[in-house]
Amino acid sequence: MIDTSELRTPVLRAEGVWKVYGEGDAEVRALRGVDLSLFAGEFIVLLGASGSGKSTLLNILGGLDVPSAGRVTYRDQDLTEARDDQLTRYRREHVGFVFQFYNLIPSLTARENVALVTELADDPLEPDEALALVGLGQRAEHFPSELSGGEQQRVAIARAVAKRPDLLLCDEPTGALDCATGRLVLTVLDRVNRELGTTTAIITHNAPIAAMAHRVVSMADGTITSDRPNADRASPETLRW
Amino acid sequence: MVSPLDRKLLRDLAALKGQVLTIALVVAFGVAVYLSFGSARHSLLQGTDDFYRAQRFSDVFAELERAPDSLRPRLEQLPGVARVETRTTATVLVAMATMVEPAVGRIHSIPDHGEAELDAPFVLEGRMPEAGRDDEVLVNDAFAESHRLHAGDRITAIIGGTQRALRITGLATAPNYLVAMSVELSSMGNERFVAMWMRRSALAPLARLEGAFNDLGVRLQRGASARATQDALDRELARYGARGARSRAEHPSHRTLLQEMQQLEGSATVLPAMFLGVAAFLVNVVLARLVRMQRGQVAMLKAVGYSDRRIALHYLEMVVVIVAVGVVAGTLLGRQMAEWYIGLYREFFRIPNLSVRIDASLLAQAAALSFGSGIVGTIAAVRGVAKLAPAEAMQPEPPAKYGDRALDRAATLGALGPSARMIARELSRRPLRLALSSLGIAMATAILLAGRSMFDALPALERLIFHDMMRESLAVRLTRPVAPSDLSVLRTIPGVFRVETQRTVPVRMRHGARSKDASLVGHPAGADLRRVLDARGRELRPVRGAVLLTRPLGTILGVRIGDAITVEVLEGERRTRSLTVGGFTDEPFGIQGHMQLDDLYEALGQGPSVDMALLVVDPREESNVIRRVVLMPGVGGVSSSRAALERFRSQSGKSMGATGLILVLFAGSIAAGVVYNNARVALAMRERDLATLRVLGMSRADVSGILLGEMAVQVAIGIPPGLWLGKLLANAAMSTTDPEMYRLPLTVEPFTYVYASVVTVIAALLSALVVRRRIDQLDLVSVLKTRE
Ligand SMILES: Nc1ncnc2c1ncn2[C@@H]1O[C@H](COP(=O)(O)OP(=O)(O)OP(=O)(O)O)[C@@H](O)[C@H]1O
Ligand SMILES: [Mg+2]
Repeated sequence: MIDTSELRTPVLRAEGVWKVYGEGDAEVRALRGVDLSLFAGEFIVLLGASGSGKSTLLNILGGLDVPSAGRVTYRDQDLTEARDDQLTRYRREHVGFVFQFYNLIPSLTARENVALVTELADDPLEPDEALALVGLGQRAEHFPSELSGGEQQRVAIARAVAKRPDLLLCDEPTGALDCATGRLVLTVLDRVNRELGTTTAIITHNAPIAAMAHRVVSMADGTITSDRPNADRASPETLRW
Repeated sequence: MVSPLDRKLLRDLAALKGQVLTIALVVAFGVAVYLSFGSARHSLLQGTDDFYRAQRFSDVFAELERAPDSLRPRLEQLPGVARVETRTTATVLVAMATMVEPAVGRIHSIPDHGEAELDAPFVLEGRMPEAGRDDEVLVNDAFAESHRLHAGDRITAIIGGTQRALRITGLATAPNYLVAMSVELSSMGNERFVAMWMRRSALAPLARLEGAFNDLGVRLQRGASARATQDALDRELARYGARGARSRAEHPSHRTLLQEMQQLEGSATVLPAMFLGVAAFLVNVVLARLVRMQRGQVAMLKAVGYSDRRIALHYLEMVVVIVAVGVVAGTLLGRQMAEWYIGLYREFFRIPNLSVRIDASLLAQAAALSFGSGIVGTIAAVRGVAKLAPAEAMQPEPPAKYGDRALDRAATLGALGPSARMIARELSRRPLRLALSSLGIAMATAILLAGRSMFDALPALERLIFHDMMRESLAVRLTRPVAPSDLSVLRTIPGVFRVETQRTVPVRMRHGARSKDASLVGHPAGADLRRVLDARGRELRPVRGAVLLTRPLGTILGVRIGDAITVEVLEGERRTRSLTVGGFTDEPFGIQGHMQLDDLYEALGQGPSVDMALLVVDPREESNVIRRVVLMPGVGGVSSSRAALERFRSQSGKSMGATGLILVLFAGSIAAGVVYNNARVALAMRERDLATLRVLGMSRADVSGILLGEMAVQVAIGIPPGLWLGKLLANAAMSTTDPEMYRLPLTVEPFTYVYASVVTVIAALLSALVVRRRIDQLDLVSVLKTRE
């Protein structure tokens, strides 16, 4: 088991990150000076009320967005200084995303959706291998419309992990799923984290899910209100919400 | 291996096949028109060029009364002259059993041995007349074809007033008769005009020109100016009764050909531009929508590391496929159309071996233009791709912004039902799309209106020519002027009620530095059978001492009413006189001046002489009168107004059918393309809304009413400007005609407005029906379940 209290160099580090949308009356301060580090191989869960800035933070960490102020560094690379094509390369080489609404391409089969990403990667898993990892080896030929919500989300996870990312960022991966299906998805994420050692961050509204994390980060009003390790990790199969 | 993105491309295209096909069709028509008109023009140019070179088409032409053969060496010394061929020509009349009037035309000499040095006839069938045979002729193939004449057939012709039995040794075409037509409307049509060639020593006695010539062709030295040589020829030939030398540019056959090329070029520019413009718009509508609908996919692709450029390329590839389908179909269609077009041309332009060649550069141009417009249409979509932030993949699409529109607050909207209100809001939210859609509809309407209005000119023209201007039953043209008293014999023919006369002389008109060769027509006082009209159809009568000019002639000379012009008579003593411009006339053909006959005599410095008789005859006696008149000495042609009217009608009827069908196809494809694509896109974008409405209890009719209502508004807004645009287009088409040859009255009949509107509406309705079927088949559950 990984002990997060030990001092190690973080993989990804956010320092004093601000994000401000709009200006004047319409100004929204989505992040107000956030500091957060992600360490190799850890599994963190991000909790917080709606509108607290979770997605905004995750998008910035994943190089989908840039902060208004502050610094984000991935290993030695300063993401806040990066040009658009550098951010694209960062995402392509290091980050895997899982979205709340799966975002599969409806006109491509499960395997082709995964291949979309493996095409871009240096040393990817075979699409079938990735699908087997999420328990969908038999459904590779199916189109998204022929899969249930949970199955679609697992395809999305297969797609995200197939390129062996260093970071796996998931924004409410179980948000559209019932509890049982959600457990299945979390089990897959947990397995990927264990077997591939992928640093994983999950946003969720369901506090019980925090029990499976190495570390639980809570946000409110654009700031981090607590950041505590979870020594006693629960297995995802046992979670209820 | 096919990449997943390429698979997506193919599947998206398959899902959009209706739209892909309608856009490809519009592109195909644009390409087909571009290729067919372009290659027809190219073939004509090339064919003409080759033929002119092979048959040695003269650079300068001159006609005269009579000059001795011995003059030729002198003429060859004139500046710019490389070669001169002196020839003999005469008026020829051929009575055919199938026509009331005789065919009229010219018979030309060819040297006794070998071929003509210039303007040589090209024998298509049979052989050249033998030297020493005085009854053998070549006949132009257009005439022969329309009368089913062949080598070996015999005909009777009147040459120089003498009736001769002739044997046709061959059928031919010649560079000076590529367009073998009389300049006069009354003898229009291949069957009415004849050109013949005879060995010179056989023709000379018939034309009473032994040892003399009355016609010549000149080959210029390389780089020499035609004008300078023309002037030199005029000076040299003045005393031999020359009428003023003409350059190629003034040669009627060549001029008609050039004019046709110009029209082809115009059509080959305007029509493809319209088609490709519409295609670009459709690509824009469909792709912008596709990108918006796929914004989640685009954002995801960006999130996982696809570059903007790669994703943009993906959508560009889609357009490339659509356009490629159109270009291929258009090329095939264009070949067919070009064949058909050239087939039509063969009827008028007698160029041997006129073949269709779609050369690579033309094809490359068509493809470049098509892909160019496709890419232009894609710009908005590609911008959308670049603009989309990858973070948006995380969120559902925000609801479209409505409200706070002036239209919403307008009092009228409150009075509308909820469906009408949705239509109004949707349309007002996208004014640019509404404008462009309506513009597309307008273009379809415009093509229909402009195409159809060409035929509207015909009844007006018919009225003008056959009712208002030419009121005689028969026009008898004389080969040379005679004293008016010589024509009194016409009055004695049974069935002739009335005889009027005219005199036409070739003149050079000058005003300041400008000059123009034209003819001057003298009308006797009190004449009423040939009337001179202005644009409003009012009769103008020349007053003593003043000349009335055809309007374009006035423009060429830069004169206004009351200005003085100098008129040099190009025959006889070549007198020069000053005349006052008394007004402008608007007859549809040719350029000429009109004046009183007595003024003309004064200008000529001669006693009374006339060269045309206009007859009013008893319709029952018409053919008898013609038979007698034809045999009278000095008669160069007889035309019946009634027969001319019949030919005019049958000719216009024929061209109307084919052209009408093509126009409907063209315009229909545009209207259907615009309406169908807009509706499909609107449907795809708002499937969820519409399904929700259905769930809330709206009927199928209500729901399709909303979508189809939007289409109806686009069509309704598009048609009126389309009618206006069509009129502009018709105007533009008319302006490509050569104003010195003919001017058509631009009229658009009320029926044509109705026709253009109705055909547009029908095309729209048909595509609406297709979309309506899809709305009816809307699967409520699956639409609401999927999130895309
Ligand atoms: N593009 C934007 N423009 C303006 N405000 C925005 C934008 N995106 C997010 N916000 C605002 O920033 C704040 C944080 O948004 P964020 O999406 O990060 O919240 P969240 O914690 O993920 O909420 P939820 O749990 O509902 O997804 C919210 O108040 C939101 O309204
Ligand atoms: Mg969120």
